Amino acid sequence: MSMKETAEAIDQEAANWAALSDRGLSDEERVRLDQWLAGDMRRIGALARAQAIWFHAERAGALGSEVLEADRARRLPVLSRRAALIGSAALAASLAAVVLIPRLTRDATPMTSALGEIRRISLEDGSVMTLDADTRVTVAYTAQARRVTLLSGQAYFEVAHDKARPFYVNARDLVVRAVGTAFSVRVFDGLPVLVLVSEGKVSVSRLSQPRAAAPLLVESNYSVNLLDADKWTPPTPVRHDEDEIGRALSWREGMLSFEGETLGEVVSRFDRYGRNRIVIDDPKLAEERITGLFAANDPKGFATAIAVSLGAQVRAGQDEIHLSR
Amino acid sequence: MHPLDPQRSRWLTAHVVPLEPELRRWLKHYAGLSSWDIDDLIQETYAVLATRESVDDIRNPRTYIYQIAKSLVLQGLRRSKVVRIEAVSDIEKFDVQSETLSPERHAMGRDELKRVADAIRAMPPQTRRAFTLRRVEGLSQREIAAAMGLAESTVEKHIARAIQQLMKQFGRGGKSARTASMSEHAADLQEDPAPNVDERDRRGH
Repeated sequence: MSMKETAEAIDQEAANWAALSDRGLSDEERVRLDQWLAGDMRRIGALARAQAIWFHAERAGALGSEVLEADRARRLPVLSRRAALIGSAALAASLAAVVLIPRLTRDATPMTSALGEIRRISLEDGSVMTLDADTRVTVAYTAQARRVTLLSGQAYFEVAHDKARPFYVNARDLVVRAVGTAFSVRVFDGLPVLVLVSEGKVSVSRLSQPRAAAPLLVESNYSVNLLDADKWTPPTPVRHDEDEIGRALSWREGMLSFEGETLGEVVSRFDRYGRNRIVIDDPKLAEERITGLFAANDPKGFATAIAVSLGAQVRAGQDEIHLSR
Repeated sequence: MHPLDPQRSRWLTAHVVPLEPELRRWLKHYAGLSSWDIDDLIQETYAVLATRESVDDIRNPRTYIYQIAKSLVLQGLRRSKVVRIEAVSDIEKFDVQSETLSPERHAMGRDELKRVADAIRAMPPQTRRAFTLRRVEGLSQREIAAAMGLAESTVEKHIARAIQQLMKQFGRGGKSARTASMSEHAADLQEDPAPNVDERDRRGH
């Protein structure tokens, strides 16, 4: 038998091609890739696997900064310089807050999500806030304004329309203002603040900027990376197609996490995501306790896994999935 | 279908990547494959799924993926000169559904996240930075080059290394890592005339 190329060698080459594909292949590279692929079926599989695993790594966003930024020793001088800058911005922020909304600090309610956990929170005005894993916010509602401060992490806001009470998200020294819209804001350690708008539009301003300065408008299907104040030149929002927006926001559908909730409660969490409702036809079954992490957008896969674990039966209807025992 | 088709990749990401560690364990314990045969077979399984005309008709991805792996194992056994009757019957007897009962299935989401975390921890600092900017922050490779003050071709290499690290991490079947020295040792082994269940090696026929 002739010498066979090892799976490991193929994987290495596949990783190189996946990285090239990630930045976009030239025509000439495409031809070379197809030649390479034609040599062995395993290469096709290795490349498909490389890209699937690469896409999968988007979930790294759920890991939190201690894993992503573990090279602290190297970054420390940069961080401390930035901390000083944020310090002065925060001072400006607190002054502005005192003038504009005196009750801010008294009413702020902290909310957090744990590592690997995605939380969807309904606010009192009907707005919905989705917290990505490892996210900290405070929420302060007054008669004049609705204000969320994103301390760290990432959150997606679906804002209920209320002209009388604008909806603000504070992130570092930025203020994102929305009336009725849907957008996400991200504050990750060591990275610029990202604002991404999926519906309507928002305006972004800085607490420290002069009153006369025009805020930056970000429209639906645009995103913008906002660097720290010391590097501030008004950035140009980048346009995305629907697919890209969907992918950028896919963390929201990423995973649902349960720690001993009843199946009844778990199923109602799935209701917010899937088109296929899970219906439990057996009240005793609804009392079973569930622990685990599940793809929120796959109620059917969830129902099947649960059915096998709990010795139940699944019956898939038109829009409903029935579980019984 | 081209193996880089993004929609197909998404499907593979959703259905095959999370299943891979479990599938590898199954190939080792029930089909009795050696670790290199498992690597080959995983690549072949992805190839079948990547080149399939459509995946819309696959109603139960998990069962289907096992079916493919199983038929590839059987093909391999039929091709080899020495057919291990006991291996074939082991596979035929094995019911994919019963594997679903194992409690580890519930821990899978966390296990997957842990694999990604382990891969990131194993990356050199520059690679990890490039990875974070690309996968978490969503900057393009060109933007990363500008942000890190590197040539674009260097960023490309960091990304390739990151992908390789992730592939390695998902290539580890069990909870404990398969070390390089172990697989090198396995590579030196000749066909054992009386193999034990875990170390059957079909290679060389």
